[in-house]
Amino acid sequence: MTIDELVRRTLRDWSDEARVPSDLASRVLRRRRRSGVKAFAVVAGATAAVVAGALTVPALVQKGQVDDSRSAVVVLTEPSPSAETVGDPESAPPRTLVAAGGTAVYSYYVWDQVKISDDRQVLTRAWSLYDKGGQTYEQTPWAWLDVAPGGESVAVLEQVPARRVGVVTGRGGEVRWIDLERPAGAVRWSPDAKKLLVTNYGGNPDESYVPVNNSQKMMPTSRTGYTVVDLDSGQSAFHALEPDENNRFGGRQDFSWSTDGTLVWEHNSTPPGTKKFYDLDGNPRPGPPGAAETYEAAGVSPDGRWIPAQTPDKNAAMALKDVRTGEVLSVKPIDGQWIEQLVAWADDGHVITWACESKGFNSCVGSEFRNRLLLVDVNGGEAVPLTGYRENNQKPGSWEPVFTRR
Amino acid sequence: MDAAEERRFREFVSARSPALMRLAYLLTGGDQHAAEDLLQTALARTVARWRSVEAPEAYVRQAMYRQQVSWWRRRRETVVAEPPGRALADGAHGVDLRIDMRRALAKLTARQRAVLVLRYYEDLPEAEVAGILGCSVGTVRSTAHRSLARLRELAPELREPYTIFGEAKA
Repeated sequence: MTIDELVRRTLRDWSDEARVPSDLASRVLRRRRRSGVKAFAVVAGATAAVVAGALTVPALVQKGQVDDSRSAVVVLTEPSPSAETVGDPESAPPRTLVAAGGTAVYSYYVWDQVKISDDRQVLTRAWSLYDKGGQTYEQTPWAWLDVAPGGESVAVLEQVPARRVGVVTGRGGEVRWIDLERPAGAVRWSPDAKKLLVTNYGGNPDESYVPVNNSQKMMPTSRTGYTVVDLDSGQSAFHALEPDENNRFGGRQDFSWSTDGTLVWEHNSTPPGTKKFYDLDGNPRPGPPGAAETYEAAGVSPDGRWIPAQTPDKNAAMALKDVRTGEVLSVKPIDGQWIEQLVAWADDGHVITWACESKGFNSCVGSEFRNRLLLVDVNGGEAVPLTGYRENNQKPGSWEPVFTRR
Repeated sequence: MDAAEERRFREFVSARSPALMRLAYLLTGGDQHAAEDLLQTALARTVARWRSVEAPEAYVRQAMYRQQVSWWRRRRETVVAEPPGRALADGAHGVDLRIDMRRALAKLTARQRAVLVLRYYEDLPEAEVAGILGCSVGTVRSTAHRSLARLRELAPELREPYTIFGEAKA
């Protein structure tokens, strides 16, 4: 055998190892659409790199002065450009910006279930992003996106799972791609907008079994861990962390940032605690007070005072517990709206909720799944509708907001 | 692109992607991720001209070759994926040699590898290789010669005389 023949045989054998990616044509067509629309980013005006509230940051410049008298200074950020409450109470999903206090809906997605075999389906998301120029939401071609606090940058995934994460800054900005050691199924900005938290999966976390007779087998998760990407240095570090085998959350089990960005957490379905916290190096750590007492997405209020809680009051579904006194305050129906879930804090005294149109005691017009975003004063003051009602949040075509610091 | 054209494109990708992916895999030196990128980029170019492309497969192949060589020109680097180690169960010398050959192929420049893939995997005559890469026949010949010499340098065990399956060449 000559070396020519050896090269020939080697190439043939080697090529057998190539794996054809799934839905290749769809990926190419999506990529083509993306190049057509450019990578427009939001963005809603905020210029503060550090979000509202107080964060401890090493030696930061504040209004042109360097405070080097301490190794760390508490930085009170520039006030948000607006804390005005704005919404689109007639539309679901909204057409104009939804925002209240320090929180905005800069992006949302409409989901669908696509059957991929007789017994399997994949949840897909069509993401829309708020475009400050056009003052409306525009659909994007990305498979996943997350807007940075302040709304100036967006992190994107081209597909789920993805081998790289993109960061787009400014309208029409170039995408900065960061290759990842492990495939990513989700990405979230840190509260200081300097890091990304990537949840890694071996497969598609949105794949599930097709329900049969209203019963659905749970898909085991393929989660492998998380990666923290430091955007200044471009360095990223993967930390292997498979979910507890007792967790009953299905395929997608993403990590989230703690409020101050020093820890990450995952949901936990086995007591004690609704969340498990880790430091940025993958080590288990205790969480902030009260944080692991609730599954409600709103979590602890910005001032640390209120935690969503169960209520013994039959005239309400939700309550807030005062961390200091233990007092429980029911979030009662208001203006014909039954409060179902607490999803994001606007400020220390106002929380954004999902609410249905109340039809008497614990009953909704249509169904409990027909609901809208409603801003509620924790002290029982006025409630402000932020969007129209979505018809049924359990059905494909429904929308889900993503909340970002303004 | 209308719905009928999109359907035709999807059918083309479905039918030809195994062969195209094998080619992309070889061109990128066995790097699955880089191969997917290369093929997607070539398909994106093809779909942009879908109405005017008469022979889509040939177009995609040429786009991949040229893209790979141009990436290399721009970056002056090659993606090197290490093939699995030698510890194969059968221990056959021929298998070992092919593993050595993979390692060596992965270390070639993109242009050198492209010439060898065109000559030995696609079995194309030098003139066609030159047409695809946009260079002269003389350049193809000299690149192929240098590439084989480089393989022998990278893997001394490939130097003749060598033995495959006990078959000695003096």
